Amino acid sequence: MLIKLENISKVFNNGDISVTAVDEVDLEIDKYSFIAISGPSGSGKSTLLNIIGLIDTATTGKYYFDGNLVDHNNSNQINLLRSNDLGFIFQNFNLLPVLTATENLQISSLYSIKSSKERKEKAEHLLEQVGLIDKKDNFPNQLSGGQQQRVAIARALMRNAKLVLADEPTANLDSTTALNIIELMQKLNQDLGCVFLFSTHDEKLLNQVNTIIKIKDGRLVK
Amino acid sequence: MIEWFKIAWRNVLRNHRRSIVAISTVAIITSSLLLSYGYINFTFFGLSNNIVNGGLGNMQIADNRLWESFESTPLEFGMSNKKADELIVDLEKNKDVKRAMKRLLFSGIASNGEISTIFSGTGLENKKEKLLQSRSLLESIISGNTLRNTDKNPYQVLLAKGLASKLQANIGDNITLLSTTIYGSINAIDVIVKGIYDSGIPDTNLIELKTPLALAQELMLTEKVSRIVVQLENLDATEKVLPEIKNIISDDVGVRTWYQLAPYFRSVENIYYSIFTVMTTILLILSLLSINNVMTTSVNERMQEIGTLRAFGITKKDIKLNFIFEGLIIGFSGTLIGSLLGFIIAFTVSQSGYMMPPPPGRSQGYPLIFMLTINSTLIIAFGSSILAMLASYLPISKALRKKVVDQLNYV
Repeated sequence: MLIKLENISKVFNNGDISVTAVDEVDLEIDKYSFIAISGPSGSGKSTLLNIIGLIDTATTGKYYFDGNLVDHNNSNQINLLRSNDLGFIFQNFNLLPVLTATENLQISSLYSIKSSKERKEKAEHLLEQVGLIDKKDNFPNQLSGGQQQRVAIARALMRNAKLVLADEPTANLDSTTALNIIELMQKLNQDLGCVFLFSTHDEKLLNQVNTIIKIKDGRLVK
Repeated sequence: MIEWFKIAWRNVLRNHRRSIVAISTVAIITSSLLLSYGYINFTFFGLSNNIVNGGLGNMQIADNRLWESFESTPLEFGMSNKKADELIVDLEKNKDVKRAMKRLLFSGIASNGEISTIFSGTGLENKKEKLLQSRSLLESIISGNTLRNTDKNPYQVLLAKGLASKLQANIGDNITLLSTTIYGSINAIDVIVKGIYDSGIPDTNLIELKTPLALAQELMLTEKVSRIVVQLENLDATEKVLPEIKNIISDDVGVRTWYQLAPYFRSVENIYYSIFTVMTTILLILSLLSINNVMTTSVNERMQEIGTLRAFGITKKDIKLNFIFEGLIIGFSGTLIGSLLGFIIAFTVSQSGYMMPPPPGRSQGYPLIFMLTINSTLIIAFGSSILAMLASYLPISKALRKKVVDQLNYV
């Protein structure tokens, strides 16, 4: 088992108003999984992904990553997990505009791959896997939305991540490109064995996935 | 580190309009500071040069009692001519001493037979004094000549223009100088007006005159002199040579440097530096705010990038480094352009021969010259670059205090 959440809750306080975005969630995710989180807008999908991706903290509950309890106050542990074990794919791609496709991949693995030559080789290998080796020296503004998301997927895999999280990775893409992206993610899941966990409310895409976690009002729906 | 510098460099180029505004601000402020410093530097150089070569010398030596109290009778604390000559020989053996010369200060009444007025006179060794004051003396003569052949004919005088005007004296006129001798009696000698000069100070112009030393001694019936004036090879060597001079002179005489004899120099220096400090502070704050504004906009625009890097485990230290490099590039480019601009303006204006109006208490204007030095340029450039780094550090530090999720969702 890679991920285990015990009684995880996230409450946002805004003055006198408290909003429970994630409500007492228990969740276990096995290694090699390919999972979609589905639910309507405001259901807590993104918040749950953010907590699992260690870019937000839970208000209560326990989080185990690969059998180890995650301590959110331990910045060293969090930084190590982020730089070695977690990969992110963002809805807006979030590529650094001043870096080329290869450089975007390389910068994300600055700490995990010390040799710049190795970083470059791996970046080019991954760009080949996502079908963009001919665009390796292109800057993000020279790539289409789908191509940018492919680069973002390759970037998430640069550090041999055990878990790749994607929050609405296809929201800004047309339906054909979106399907291609999901197929690419599935292929990489099978080839590399890393867990893919992504959120979507696109029914067409959900049909492509075996495991779906449904969430509503911050609670998992069985 | 190279990666962060590369990203910083590309971001400076990417936001070129904003970068140009920030670099221009730093450049203008750097050149302003350089020109201000260059102007002040020249003012002090000119002032100290005028004081030393205008007659005061680098230092003066006199009886200790003269420095510490007042004479109750003329030349009560004067130095014998013999002792003065021996001391001058010893002083001129020092390699840093250019020349040493005797002077006799005296006062009395000058008269043309009809009009009488008080004067303050200096009896001087003409040949040496001409060398000390060569340029300033020649430039100050407004009619007639300097003193000449004083060994053969000591009965000649140079009058300051106000005194000459009061006495209605022209070149070649005879006037009578009356003074109290060292014995308390009155003595008078007729002299010929050889030249009229402008001392540069209106109050001094009303009473000052210069005569050969021999004439002043004859008038006061003495062999004594008031003091010895020492000129050094180098204007700036005063502090360095002072201990050596103290070793040469005997215990009964003391030495005073030119800035002790002209205390207003330090006051002027303090006032100028205070003004410069205030102006520098204001300009640097403006520079800080300007770069800070640019960098805050840059940080806010790139908040998602910051969040993305943090999500990949990039440390806050490295992200700060990236933005500090950006500030440094802006700061360094600005100071480089500003320094070049400063040097070009300084050179052009200094060559133009533009004259400034006379300063308060002076009767002559002076050329506008910016005297820049490599040291001051480096200090100002270094300061501006540090400031640019600081201006970058503040917004990125603030941005990094946000949670990663807030950085990623920042709009």
